[in-house]
Amino acid sequence: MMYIETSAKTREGIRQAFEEVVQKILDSPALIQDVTGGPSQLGGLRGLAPPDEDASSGSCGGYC
Amino acid sequence: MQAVARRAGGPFDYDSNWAPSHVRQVTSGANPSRRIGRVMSYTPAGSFDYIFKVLLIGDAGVGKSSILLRFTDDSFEEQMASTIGVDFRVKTVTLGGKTVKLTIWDTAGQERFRTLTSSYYRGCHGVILVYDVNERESFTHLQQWLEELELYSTTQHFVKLLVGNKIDVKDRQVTVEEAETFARCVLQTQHHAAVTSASLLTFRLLIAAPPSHCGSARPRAGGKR
Repeated sequence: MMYIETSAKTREGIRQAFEEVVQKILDSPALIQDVTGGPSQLGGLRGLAPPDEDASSGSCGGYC
Repeated sequence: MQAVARRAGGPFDYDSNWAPSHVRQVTSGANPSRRIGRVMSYTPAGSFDYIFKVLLIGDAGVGKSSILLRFTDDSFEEQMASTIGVDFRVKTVTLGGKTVKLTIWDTAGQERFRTLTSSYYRGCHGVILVYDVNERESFTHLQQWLEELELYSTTQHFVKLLVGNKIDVKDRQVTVEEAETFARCVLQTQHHAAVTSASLLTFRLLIAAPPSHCGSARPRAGGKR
């Protein structure tokens, strides 16, 4: 597990923290597979989320 | 269909703001680069490669909501109200050529709001564990947060990040070394668990008796001040 120190007040480390998480997820094949694999990936977010095929193909997320 | 307005710049470009969870995103006809007021609930239309669900967890008052607000709105409130239940924001980021829509769940740290836990852990891709470097108790409680995480998360595959917040306050009660050691040993413990068995029971046994070289890494109440 990575460790980052932050200050929301001064902005220090905030971007890096989220950047680190996103990069680590992108680097994890199992997670990427989950993302494109099925509706369960969205958990309780189905009402907000576009169809899976759009999420994986990079086309408009169903809002166009 | 509208294209994402990507800004040139660093490796991590931002192109959207936020939308509250209770309002479906409405983007038709909206200018992708236009920022709508917080009361309104519009976010830019755009394509993306992935949706990731990321959680912020940790004790009440450590700054989870402030971290989220800073990241999504680039703003800060000195007197932030306690989160009730779950807050939720969306931000689209571009990293390494991939456009990622982040759904970030900001969970209430207070015990009385802990009844929704299993639903917001479900299907998460990343978890940010937050503590306050000036509040040692929030560090010692990380172990409990990890256990709750293992209990409720439905997948073994998610990314964890430890964040020590409020470094501007300068009343530090947890050293960088302590936090780094703890983070490193959590990773090792999980590796051990994954090798032997991915079961919760095994994980918990390992937590109870971590590898000897990590024994001192668990958060302690009586550490350096």
